[in-house]
Amino acid sequence: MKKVSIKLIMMSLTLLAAMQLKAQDHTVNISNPSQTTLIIKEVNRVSVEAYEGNDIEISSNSRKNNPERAQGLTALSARGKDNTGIGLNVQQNGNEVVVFQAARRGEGKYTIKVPKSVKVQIEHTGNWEGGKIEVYGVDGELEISGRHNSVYLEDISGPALVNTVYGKVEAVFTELNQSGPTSLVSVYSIVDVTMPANTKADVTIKTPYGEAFSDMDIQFGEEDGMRKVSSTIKGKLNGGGVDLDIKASYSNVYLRKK
Amino acid sequence: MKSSKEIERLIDKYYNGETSLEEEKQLQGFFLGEVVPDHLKTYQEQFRHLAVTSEITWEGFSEDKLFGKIDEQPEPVEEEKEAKVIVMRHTSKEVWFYRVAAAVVLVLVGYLVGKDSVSTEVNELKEMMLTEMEGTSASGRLKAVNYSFEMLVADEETLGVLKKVVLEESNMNVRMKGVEALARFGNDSGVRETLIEALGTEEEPAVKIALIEALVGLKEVGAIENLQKIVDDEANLKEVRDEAHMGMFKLRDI
Repeated sequence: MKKVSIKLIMMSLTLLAAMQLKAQDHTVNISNPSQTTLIIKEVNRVSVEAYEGNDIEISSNSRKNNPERAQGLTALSARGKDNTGIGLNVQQNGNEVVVFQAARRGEGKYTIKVPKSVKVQIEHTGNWEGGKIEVYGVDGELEISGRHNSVYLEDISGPALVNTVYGKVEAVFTELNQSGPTSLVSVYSIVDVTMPANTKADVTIKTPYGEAFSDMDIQFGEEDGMRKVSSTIKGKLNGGGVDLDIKASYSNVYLRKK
Repeated sequence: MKSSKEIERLIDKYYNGETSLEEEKQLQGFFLGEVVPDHLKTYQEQFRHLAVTSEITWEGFSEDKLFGKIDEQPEPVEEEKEAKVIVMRHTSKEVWFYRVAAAVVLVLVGYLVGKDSVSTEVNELKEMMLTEMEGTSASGRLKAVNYSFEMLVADEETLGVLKKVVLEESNMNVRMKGVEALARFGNDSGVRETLIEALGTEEEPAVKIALIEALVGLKEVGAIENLQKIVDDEANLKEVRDEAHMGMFKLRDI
């Protein structure tokens, strides 16, 4: 009897959790992933993760719900209404899916699951609360612009245009897409890039007030006479390829091979 | 037989070129003789040789014949020379005309072909640039800006595209590269005006720093006013204001 009741409690708890989780989800149906651009604006602590599905699934792990008094009301913000129930405003216009943070959320993190071929644009211009911007396993083009945010990218192939002011940029590439240039910039913090050893690229590393470190085989050009004391390093990886610009204005650049 | 003293005197005389034919004969006779004192033996070989060669005569040789031959020679030589000179003079004007003409044609062809291929290349780059610029991909637009780095000269249209990037492009990475690209054509006053204008409107610190670097690099004194504004505006990041301050100093030194 006791065992059964424990089981029952466990089951109902799981069910409850599942229901709650369900309530914390929002799905956007998209028809053509590789033509779709996911635009994320001002969303605090966001992680975009590639998965096998065909839709965009947005979830929040925030346990904080709207206050009791807000029952029957929707959260408002200058940027728009919360139309998802998880503090976000999501709009779909043709091939664009735009996600805004609508309600203030002081904690928790948004996880957005996407088919791996979508293009992802993330922009955060707000103050310190932006937190980390993370992207995992996305093959599509990435465009990320932060201010106080650190940017962490893993298993990506680019092209990637990333810039942030105060945060770090860390990027681990599975390969470097040759269809367009990749540019990774942090003003005050480090840029740490990991590339497969056989990556082909025309690499430019700029560290006006910092230093650059690498274990990759960078072939420097013939213009040695012109190099003098410069903070710009230009060279080729494996005979050259697409442009790869890495810049850390006031800090260091690390370029590693996988 | 003359004494060796006498011989020595004759030898001196001989080397001074003062000996008479008679005296030379005496010397030759002396050295052809059996008894030659040791200290004169070094001269023996020479005077014996002289004695032998003076004996040689050429069959039927006479000065008249020699000069006759010399006189005969110049005639054909002269003729030949003159003929050659005449030939050259005769065609020289035409030859020079053709040479000059060929040189002019070569230069013209080189110029036109070169100009043509350069302009084709620039046009191709420009076309690729304009196409990429139309796209929605920021990486594509960055690629478009990068094409301009392969151009040594830029026409108004290209400069227009780059100016637009610096002033209006939404992606900061592209805008920053645009500043670098446009600064390459800093001889153009419109380019410098655009960079100064951008310095007044730009929000991103990294791009502001790139603009300051570009304008200081171009020694654009006209930027001082906007640099002062950046220094005065406390909303700007400290590093940006420092950079602007340093830039002002450098420009005032010019």
